[in-house]
Amino acid sequence: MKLIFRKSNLTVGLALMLLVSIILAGCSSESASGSSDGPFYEEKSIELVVPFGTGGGTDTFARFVAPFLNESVEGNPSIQTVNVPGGGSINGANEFVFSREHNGQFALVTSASTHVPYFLGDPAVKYDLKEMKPVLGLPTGGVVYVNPETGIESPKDIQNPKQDLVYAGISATGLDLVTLLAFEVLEMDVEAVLGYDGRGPSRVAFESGESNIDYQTSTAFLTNVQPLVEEGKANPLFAFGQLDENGEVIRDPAFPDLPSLKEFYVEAYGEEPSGEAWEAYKAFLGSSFTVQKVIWLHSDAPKEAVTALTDGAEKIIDSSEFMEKGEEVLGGYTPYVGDQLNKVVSNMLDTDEEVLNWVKDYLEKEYEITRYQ
Amino acid sequence: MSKEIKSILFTTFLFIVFCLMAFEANTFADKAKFFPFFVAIGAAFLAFVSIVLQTIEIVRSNKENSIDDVGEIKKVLKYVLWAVGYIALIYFIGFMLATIVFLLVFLLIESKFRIITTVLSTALVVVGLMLFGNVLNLYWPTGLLGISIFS
Amino acid sequence: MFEAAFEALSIVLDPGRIPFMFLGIFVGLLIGLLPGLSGTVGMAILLPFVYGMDPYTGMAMLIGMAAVLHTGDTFPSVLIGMPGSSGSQATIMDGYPLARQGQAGRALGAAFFSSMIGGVFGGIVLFISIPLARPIVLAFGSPELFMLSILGLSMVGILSGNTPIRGVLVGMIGLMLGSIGGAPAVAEYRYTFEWLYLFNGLPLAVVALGLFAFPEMIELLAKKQSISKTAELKGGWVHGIKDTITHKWLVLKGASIGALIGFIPGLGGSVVDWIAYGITKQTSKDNENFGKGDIRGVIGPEGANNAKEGGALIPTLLFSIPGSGTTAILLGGLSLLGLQAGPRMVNEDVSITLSIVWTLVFANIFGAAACILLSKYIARLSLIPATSLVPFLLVILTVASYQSSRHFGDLLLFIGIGLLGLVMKRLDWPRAPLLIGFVLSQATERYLWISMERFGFSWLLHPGVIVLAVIIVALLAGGYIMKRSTEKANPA
Repeated sequence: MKLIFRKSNLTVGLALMLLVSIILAGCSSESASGSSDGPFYEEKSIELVVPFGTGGGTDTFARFVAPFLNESVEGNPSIQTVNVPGGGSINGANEFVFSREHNGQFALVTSASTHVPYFLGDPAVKYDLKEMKPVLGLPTGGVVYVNPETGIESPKDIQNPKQDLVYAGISATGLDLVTLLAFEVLEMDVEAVLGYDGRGPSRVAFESGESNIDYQTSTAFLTNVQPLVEEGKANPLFAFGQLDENGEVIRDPAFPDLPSLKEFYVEAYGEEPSGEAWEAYKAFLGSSFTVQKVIWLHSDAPKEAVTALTDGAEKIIDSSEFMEKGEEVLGGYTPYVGDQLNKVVSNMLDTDEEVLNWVKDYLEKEYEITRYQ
Repeated sequence: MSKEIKSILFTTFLFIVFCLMAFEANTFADKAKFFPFFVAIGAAFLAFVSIVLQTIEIVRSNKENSIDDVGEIKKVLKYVLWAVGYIALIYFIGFMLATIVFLLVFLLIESKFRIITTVLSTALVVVGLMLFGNVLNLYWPTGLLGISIFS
Repeated sequence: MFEAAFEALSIVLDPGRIPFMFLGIFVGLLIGLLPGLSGTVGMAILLPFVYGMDPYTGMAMLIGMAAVLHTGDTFPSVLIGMPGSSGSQATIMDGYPLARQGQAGRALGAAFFSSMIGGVFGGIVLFISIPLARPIVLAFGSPELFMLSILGLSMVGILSGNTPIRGVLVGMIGLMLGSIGGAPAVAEYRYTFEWLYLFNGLPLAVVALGLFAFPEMIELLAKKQSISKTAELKGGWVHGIKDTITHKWLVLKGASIGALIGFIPGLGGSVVDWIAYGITKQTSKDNENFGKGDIRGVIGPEGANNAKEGGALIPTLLFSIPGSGTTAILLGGLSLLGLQAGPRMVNEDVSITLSIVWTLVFANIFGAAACILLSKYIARLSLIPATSLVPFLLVILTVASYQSSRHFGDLLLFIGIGLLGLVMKRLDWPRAPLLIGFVLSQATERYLWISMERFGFSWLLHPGVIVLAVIIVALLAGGYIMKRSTEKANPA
């Protein structure tokens, strides 16, 4: 191609060069650093590092938030989303810590699949979430439902289903961990078939009868399972619930009519849940659902940057446009910001060592996972 | 060396690799093991059968086998080295600089372009890359030495 | 339904939306044209624009891109013998030999015309199957998906000519390469040696480029040839279109295969064109010329790979299960537009689905027409001597490889697989089976595991499994009988 240009159309080439130099000139004046007395982000840019490929949930979230950050953060920094996929998001998070400057111009967008390996002590994880400063956190929820043919209608039925319970999952160390721990808390006898390609395929497995107990995250439940519930093909049991600022499980705001796991347990057994499984459930509920997606800065980023972004994030969630347009992306949840975010995140980071060790043993015993030992 | 013998050598190489992979697979957890383990065992077995069959074929046919053109193999090796050298250069000095160096040298020495054509072509490629890089949002390696002109 | 369809037509043809559809088409053609860049890159370019658009406009742009991606990617497949994207790998088999015979124009003409027909066909299938989609998709459980993977793998037998053992062996290399990275059933990483780059597995684009493009470039240089061995191009695109019309049933056969397999979630779109190629070869008379420049080997898979996009949209829109890499990103685009894939897409939001059908049809027609017009000029690439073409290609391919994971490992892998491909090419080993094994490795392991875990051995008796098994045996036996009848056929 280039050769043809060269031979026949030198003029075109020259014109192109001219054009490019103009474009470049335009770019360079844009990115020149500003004077020091204005707002921190004046004429600066922020790069949102997304450790996943384009088009996934986290990427969509980042791309959705980006224009609002541009509007609300003082100085109106231009925001770029950069995907660094690989290693189930470990790669990108490592890169954020080690090869991005800690100057407040880089932020990381994580999700549960970044948090869980960190807690389990995956040998590939080189980042430390305690060395990062959260700016915005987005909760989500999930609902567990069964096929009516299992005969489970109320909490009392979970011990004697009419069919053997089969759960179709992706991986015991992903979001499925919370579901599996919930079964453990409820002392339900469920056979977990893991290895499905995603939550969509596992829902299809439920619909085609390959499994008969399943969970979906809030948005997917509302669009894809709610119609099944209306047709009488699915029976919602409980929502996972949310962790409040004191670390207690409360009802999921998106499903005010469904009991949380805690209430469900009380109805089934007449007492409050307790024990190691319950503690583990709460820990991973926090890191997987209550703050499912978090935007972080390096903790040693300039103070002005942290303040500017934190204030910007607070402004964003006050805007009605953000909540309206983001109905699908946010799943009807209001993001955490400011003090509330700090509390929720530090709750999540203060997970008891013993609980984690119990989970590691549980994973090894039940699912042959030795990676975290 | 004839193509047939080289084929046997290549199959032997595959046999060894498959055996190693089966061996390594043996250390995986059961759920991760069954697929790579059995495929590798099957492949090693098949490679072994293939070696035997190819050997029989050679012994039986016993005719003059086609001899590869040695000159051509040398050329192939030379150009493989060009490609490997280019990638190695990228590793050290980053993509843009390496591309400029590679194109200038290759076009002058191998393609026998005139100097002016060489420089112009290289310039056009660089411009094109930057244009596409901007429009298509492409990325390239910056290199070990951290020289990041034009990035 | 038809009333709604015409309403959707008027939405699509709104003058405010058409420019965005063309923007999508333009990006799609460009990405396809550049070897090694996949729809993922195209989607990444367009996603930022989507924000704030109304759903119809946004979808017109995204679908316009996705629809023509596998039209433009035929250029590199035919002209340079390297896959333009994951969709047109099988076109290499006969398209590239045709280009080497100086018939690039003819091959391109035939390819684009069958793409056009296939794409329109895929749109129609999407339209017709809207009410039927749910039961069909639900009929494919894990055991059936496993059998489909086996059907794909059985293409190895068809493609390896009269060296079946080598073909199977190469296919197994592919299976093993595909097993690198995370295991589907348990959190364990295989053959990664704790190198993070390998955790997600090897990227398909890099494997395909290394396997086909690298050896081709080196050989061209070593032989100091241009791609076309003849100095003059013969047989232009008109000839190609005539070929396609002669083999019209072949186009429809390819298109049906494409739409059907695209339809079924879980297999990944990359294997569709191989299956179409295998079946085309297996069911054609006098098939000994396949792999050496038979125009029918271009028409079959090209008809399939555009029809696939229509089919693949069904699981994407209805179940939010992506049927291919491109549709995975489409899902992200949908939620940015404030939509959520699900049953709603055929009830409340059916007008969006119908506008997608129309966009598919238009984009395929315009995209293919543009390509046919361009083909006359681009075909001349095949006349440029290797030393003046290859250095530039190498630069482009290096950039393209690096886009897969943006990790230096991409470049190492490109060279590594390239050397493997070079050895195989010089020793006349078939290379296509490696790609097939690689693409199907994950699906085979996953669905075998799930089937065994869930059903024990009883899945072998599922009716769908038995039907698919019969089809596989028939295809393979057919191949064996044909091979016996043309005993001394040449290797592929």
